Amino acid sequence: MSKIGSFFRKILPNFTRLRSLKTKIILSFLVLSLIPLVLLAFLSYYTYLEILQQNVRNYTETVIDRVERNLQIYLSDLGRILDLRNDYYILQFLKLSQLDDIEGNQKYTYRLWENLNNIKKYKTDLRDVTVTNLKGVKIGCYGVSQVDLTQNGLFQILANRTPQDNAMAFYGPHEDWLGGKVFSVGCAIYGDYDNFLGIMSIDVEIDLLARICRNIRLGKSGYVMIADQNGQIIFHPQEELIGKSVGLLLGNPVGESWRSGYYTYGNRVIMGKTLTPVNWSIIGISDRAELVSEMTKVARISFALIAASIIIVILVALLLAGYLTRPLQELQSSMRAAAGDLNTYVNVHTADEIGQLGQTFNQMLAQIRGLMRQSVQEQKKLRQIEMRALQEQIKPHFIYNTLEVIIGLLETNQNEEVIKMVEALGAFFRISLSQGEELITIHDEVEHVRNYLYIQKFRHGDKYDYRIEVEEGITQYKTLKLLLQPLVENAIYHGVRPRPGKDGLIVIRGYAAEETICFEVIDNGVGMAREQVAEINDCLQGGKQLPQSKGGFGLRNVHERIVLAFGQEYGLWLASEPGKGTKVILRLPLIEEEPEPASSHDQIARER
Amino acid sequence: MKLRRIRRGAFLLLPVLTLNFFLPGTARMNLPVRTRPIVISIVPKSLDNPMYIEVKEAAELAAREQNVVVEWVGPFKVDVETQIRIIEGLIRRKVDGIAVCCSDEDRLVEVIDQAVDAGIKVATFGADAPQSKRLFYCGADNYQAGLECGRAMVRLVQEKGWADRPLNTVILTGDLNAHDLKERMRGFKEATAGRINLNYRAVLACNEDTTTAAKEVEAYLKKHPETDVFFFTGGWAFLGPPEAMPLYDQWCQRGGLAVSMDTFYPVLQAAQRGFVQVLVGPNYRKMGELIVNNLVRAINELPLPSTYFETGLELADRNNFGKLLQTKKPWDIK
Repeated sequence: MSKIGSFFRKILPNFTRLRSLKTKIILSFLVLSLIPLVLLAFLSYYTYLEILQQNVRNYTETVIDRVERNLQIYLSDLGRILDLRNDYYILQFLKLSQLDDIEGNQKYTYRLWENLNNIKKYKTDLRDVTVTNLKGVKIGCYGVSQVDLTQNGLFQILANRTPQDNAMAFYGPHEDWLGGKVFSVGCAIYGDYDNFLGIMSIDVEIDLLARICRNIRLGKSGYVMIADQNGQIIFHPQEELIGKSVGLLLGNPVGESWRSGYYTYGNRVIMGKTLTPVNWSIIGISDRAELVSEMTKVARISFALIAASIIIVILVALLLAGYLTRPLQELQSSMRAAAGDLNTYVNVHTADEIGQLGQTFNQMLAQIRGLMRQSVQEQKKLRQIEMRALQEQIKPHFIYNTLEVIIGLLETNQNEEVIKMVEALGAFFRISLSQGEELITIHDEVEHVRNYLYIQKFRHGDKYDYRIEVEEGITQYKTLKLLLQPLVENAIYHGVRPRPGKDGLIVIRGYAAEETICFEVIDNGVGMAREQVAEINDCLQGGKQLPQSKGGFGLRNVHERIVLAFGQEYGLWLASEPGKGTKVILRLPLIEEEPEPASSHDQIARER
Repeated sequence: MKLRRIRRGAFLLLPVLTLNFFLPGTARMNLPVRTRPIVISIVPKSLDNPMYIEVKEAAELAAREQNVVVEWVGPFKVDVETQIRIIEGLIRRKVDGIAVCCSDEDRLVEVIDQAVDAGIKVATFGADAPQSKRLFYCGADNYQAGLECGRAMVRLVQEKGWADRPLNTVILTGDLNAHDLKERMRGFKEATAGRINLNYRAVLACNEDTTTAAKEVEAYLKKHPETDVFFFTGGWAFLGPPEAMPLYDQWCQRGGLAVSMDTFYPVLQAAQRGFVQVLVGPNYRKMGELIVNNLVRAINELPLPSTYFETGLELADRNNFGKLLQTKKPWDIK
């Protein structure tokens, strides 16, 4: 996710600077509305294109089918006309002309002229209807003429067929002897013994194709053309292209594929269909550019709609963002004011999440104010306790006795000892004051109690001994100052000194245990009764007042300071048995020394 | 079939080769060697006019004699445009000779000249185009024919005792622009002028169509039963069944006088029935023979004795209708 975020930050450097919620709402609106809009536009565009192409295809197919149907109907009519080839007069004409019976054939000649011209009148596109015998004598609508059968393509086709294969044959387009462009259809005529007598043929003006196809338009510039079996154009709306090759017109790569099927080549959409009896191809050609221009209109409309939508979305987003962010802006300005004045109050106008946020903020301010008051009180209390601890340390009796010891040493010229005593006393007081610092290192705290024990041991002689066992690893951590000295003082005055004999021992242990620092002050003094220990522990846990006797003040002072500074989970715990000694366990948080010492107030607040 | 064609080709080539052998060297080199038979195309005004049947038959028989091919091509109905187109087609086909019966003497001049310029021997028959470059005209003297008709009419009117009274006269012709028909009308009018009092009420044109001719006559008589005289420049009206002209039949029975051109078998039959009193006809069989024979001469570059070949006229009246009918073959085409 962060990679994606950084990617967007890289590609959208300006957007990252737009950090106001209003801008984000506007951008969100834009993105949310644009994505579906653009998708919709693209989808609509391609759907419309698909439908348009399908419609063009369907329409082209329909047009080509219609042309094919018209031509099929026309050819079918021609077939019916050619069924007249077995007419009595035609057969008589063929027989008599074969026999060269000039006089006998006049009657049939005149009758055929009349009949053939009547047939010609049935259909306007018929150019000539003829019957040709094996001698090349041709009778038709324009009389009787002589033809060279070797040059007559239709005759050659039909002459090479069998009586069983007497389907209609096609030839052309070609020019008839009157100079007209025609295509010919014909059937062979057989005699009584399936002997080939000649052919009956119909010349149809090629303009028929023009009449069928000329007015057909596929779009604005699309058209239908017809090509013969050799790929020569026999109808094209541009007359100058008639006779040209379809391949050349459409481009050689097209090959023969224009004969059937639907495909696109260059800017042309081409559909071809073969007119089966003649093997001609009806080819519909549409201009793809028209489709594209049609689609360009759609695209323009789509883009216009998108642009209009963007403007509308921006306007709506501006209004909505303003409406939504106005309470937030008020909240923000209230919060900024609260940074300087915690008595600020946010006026909540709405009942929505922002209103709730405002209420929560007001509650939070109230809590902060309460906590600050509480903190101030606690600090005040801590200072008082600290002062009392100091006062306890700087007891005149302690100073007096210590000075008495020093004087005694001086009188006995134990100057070395005096120096050590003075040094120990000086260090004791220096660490007690610690330049007003609340927190000192465990090292200093241990040194402080070591100096205290050195002084007291000098005073009390061989009555007791002491041992300090602190793990080296914990000495750099910090602790509240003057915690151990009151406990050691209690161990001396209420533990080992009332004990008979001179084998008293005070052990001070320090170690780390599960993210905490533990100190144990153990003495082998007179100890305490079980009830008394329980009472003291209860008082320490519940916060009841400890009795002043037997070091109660020292224990309470230390415990309260720890609890005030670090919370209820830290503090003191006692274990003792009468005649066996007492063990005080002190539990502290693990506080690392910071590079730049913060104020004690901040430190305490952070720990809380 | 192939064998016959080869034999025909050899037969045609034989005289040419023989002639070439006896000619001096230079002349022998210049004479074109013909590889196909001579083709002569005869172009009538229309195909549906059976009046040409005798010309066609005679021409075809003459062609068989001459061993040439005769084509009979033309518009089915009289149609100058189509006739011009057909001649243009013949020029493209490079036939050897063309004989045209001109539907319109002026409009055909150009295409006839084109054919001549293309090296085709062109003649006219029946209806001439004298302004053209055609080689010769073959047919009757149409003016003379008109004169004969006019003289016959004068005689009939005088016999009837109508010489002093004005007579409502109608002329039925084929095409108003055809040279032959115009000449016949001119001859008729000159022969009658000053001798009898003919008031020309109408000139009906049937476009040389038999059905139209009968209809025109019937329609006119229905409107103008007072008509006294009919002059027919051709026998088209009488080629159909006589029952198709009941009003005309009644008009004849009331004493109407009619003179007509053409002496075909059906026209003679109608005349014998009383539809016409006098007939004057060109000799169409002779016309067919003259067309082919003279065109073959021209194609073979032999000199022609004249540019006008007269076919002569045949006169018929009540006295010889039956006799003439016996000499002619009945038509069996309609």
